[in-house]
Amino acid sequence: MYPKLHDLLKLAGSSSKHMCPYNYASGLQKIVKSELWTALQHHCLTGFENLNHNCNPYPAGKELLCIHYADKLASTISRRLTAIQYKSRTVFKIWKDTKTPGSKSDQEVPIDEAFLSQINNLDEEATASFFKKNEKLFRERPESIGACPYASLYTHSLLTERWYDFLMDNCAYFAIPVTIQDKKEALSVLYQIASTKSIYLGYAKIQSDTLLVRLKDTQLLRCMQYTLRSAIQTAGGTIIYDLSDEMIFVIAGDQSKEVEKDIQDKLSEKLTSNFYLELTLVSTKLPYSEKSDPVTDKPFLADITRLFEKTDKRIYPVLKERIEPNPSNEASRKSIICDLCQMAPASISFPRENTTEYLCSSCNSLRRASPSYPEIAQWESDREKNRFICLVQISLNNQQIISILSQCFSSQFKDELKIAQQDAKIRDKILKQDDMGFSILFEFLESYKEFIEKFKESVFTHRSFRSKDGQTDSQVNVLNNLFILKLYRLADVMEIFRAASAIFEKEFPKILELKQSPIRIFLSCANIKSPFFEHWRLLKQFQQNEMGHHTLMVNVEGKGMIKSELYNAKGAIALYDALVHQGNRERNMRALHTISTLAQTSEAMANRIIHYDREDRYKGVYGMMCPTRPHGLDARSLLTLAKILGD
Amino acid sequence: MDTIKFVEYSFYAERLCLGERKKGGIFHPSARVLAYSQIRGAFYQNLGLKVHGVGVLENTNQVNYLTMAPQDRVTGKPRVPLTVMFLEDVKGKVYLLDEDDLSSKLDDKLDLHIGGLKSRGLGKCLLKDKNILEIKEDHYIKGILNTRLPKAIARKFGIVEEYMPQYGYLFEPLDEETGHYILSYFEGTTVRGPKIFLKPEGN
Repeated sequence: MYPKLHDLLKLAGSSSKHMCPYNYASGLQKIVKSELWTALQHHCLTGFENLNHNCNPYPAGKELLCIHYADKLASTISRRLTAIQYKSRTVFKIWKDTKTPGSKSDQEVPIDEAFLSQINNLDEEATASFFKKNEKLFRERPESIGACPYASLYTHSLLTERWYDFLMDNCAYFAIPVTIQDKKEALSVLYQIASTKSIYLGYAKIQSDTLLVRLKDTQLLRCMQYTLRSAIQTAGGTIIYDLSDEMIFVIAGDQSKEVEKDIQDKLSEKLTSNFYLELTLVSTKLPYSEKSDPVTDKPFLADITRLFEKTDKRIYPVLKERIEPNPSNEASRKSIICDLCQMAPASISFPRENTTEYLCSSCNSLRRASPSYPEIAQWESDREKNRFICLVQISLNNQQIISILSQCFSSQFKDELKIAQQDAKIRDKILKQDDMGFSILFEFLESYKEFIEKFKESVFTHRSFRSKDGQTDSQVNVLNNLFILKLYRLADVMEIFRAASAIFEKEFPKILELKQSPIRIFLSCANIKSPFFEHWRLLKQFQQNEMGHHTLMVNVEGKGMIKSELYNAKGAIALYDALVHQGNRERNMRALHTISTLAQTSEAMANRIIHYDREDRYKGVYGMMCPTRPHGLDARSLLTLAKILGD
Repeated sequence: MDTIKFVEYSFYAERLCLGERKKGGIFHPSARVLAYSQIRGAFYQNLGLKVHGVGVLENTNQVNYLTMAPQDRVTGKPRVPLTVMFLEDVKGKVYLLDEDDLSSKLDDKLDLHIGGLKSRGLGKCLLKDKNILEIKEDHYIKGILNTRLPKAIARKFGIVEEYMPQYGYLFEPLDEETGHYILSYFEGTTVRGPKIFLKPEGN
């Protein structure tokens, strides 16, 4: 059975025709008896009587019933944005695309004969790899042209597969028979599940309080997703959405304290002293209606929304009541508790350079499993004058995404939403943050991953960050969202600003218009000898908004910070370019120093001088720094910029 | 209905460094809560009394930093400069379990040293306005713990139910040379208990 390919025929022609593979029977002769054919028949399970051909699937296997139900559940979760009626044949990314009036009607789409022929000639092996090989096609086609053009068929197919796995794994619990004789029995089984069988929806977020002291300790971040995944699987859960460090999963089980306790105990089994989970469990029933019915779906969707309201449990691994020193173990004698996680007994000495760290077995194995970074040792031995490195981290503010996406919809579909509000029948359907649905979030995360890749590519290929001899690397990729650059000139950090700003503008133009950004970038520049944990401490402070709510920030050790915004970085770059290229650079720098020092006492006075004092000897420079400050930099940031310029 | 008796003091410190246990580093942050271990340690060192007590700080927003270059004991040379975070103008309350007639042994006004960097003039605390507080169980509420205290003795402080723990370990000295770590509730734990130790949920 190939649940991921259940909507394959949506790629062959119009949506209405995908409902039954017999619509294409003449072109798909060779696969009529295959498992793929069964998957394609998922709508026939209840709709065969309405179609004008002999597609009665009965007696049907449990696989067909599960795929039929899985498709329904996947659609129910995705298609929540009903207040906006918009059609698009390609996935409409609200953060990037502009709506076009009069999109191509579904009926006008011709049948893709070549594609049909390709499907017809699929053998078992080719069918299994078809989804992966044709990922691009699935990613471009929306799940539903009219009902949900905001999520891709790719996401819907994955989601359907996960629901299918969940139903198949729990056939006994849901009392799904091996063979279903007729439509009446199929509906009876489905309605029985919907009315009597409880399941748990879970939302788990993995957290860690472990100190990251060395670059090698970032292995912990690499393990987070894997640890969370294996904890959920150990508890018998099926992951529905994988949002990296946060996952939404389902577990079959009646609502009871014992079942909840059992789930929590099993979740904790795979946790080490480095991790704990924040968990919300909601007991609910899966909805089912033959034709999509918002009333039936409402309680289930409300329960999904409840998942995000407030975390109500924290799951830890089994922790000792006391951690006693062990006289026969040197690490325990010296430190008792692990230096890094501070949640387990120290048992291993980890000597390095002039210091020794005392670690628990879990922290030690994480450090040992981490890759080494010989490039950095190489940079340390270089005898160059400038020995700065820059640590770049890209992160996402998950709390903000839904709100920003909701604003994007509201701003682009103003007219449609007004109509929706006026229409009494759909008054309760006006846009709310809950309406976003996870699939849109999932699509956004895919775009975010793309943004990171493009940003890294742009920086890594920039001439400022390529080694001068062409032999050695000037970049180290630590994690997907964390990399280190060797800086030949401190001023090169502005090139990172430039790359980030350009790609953000290209990938998220609609979010840029809102003057917001859920994406945040932090650059930490310091001498190569500066310890990693100092970089990490600043990174944590940035993430926890202890330095203010900024989306693009650079800290230069010993020189200060530049606080900017990803959506406004263009202004800062323009100012920087003007200061470098217009007039005398030394003079410009002096002007910046003067005005920023003055602004530290009084911003208003500094603004006044920039604005009125046209006879000043720095007239030209102050002209660049418009008093409305399109660059958005405060006095301290200007001072740091001056110091970077003077480096 | 259970009633718990506390000796309550108003707490004031001009400068306070409640050192977090951090490995190495050129920056040492300060915790923003007054843990059980600090109160117990301070009373033992200053007055020779083994008490069960916690502190609840009201304002920890005023932060300052002290940079110094401690001398290496072996070479006598200064090491890499160390920046230490400390809290200024700290006000709060200290609550001691009134066991074994503790209240009669304590003066109305106490001078204690709490936390780190005593040699630099930090940690001098004034405890005054001694008061006896009786709290009945029916006055307990659900909220978020605003201090750190060992799990094993949480019940003594009236923590009757734990909803969402935030665990950590506190050091408990056994004698002058050694001690052990005990599993403790840290700030952020959701519990039901006396209002004086909690901040309302959502804050």
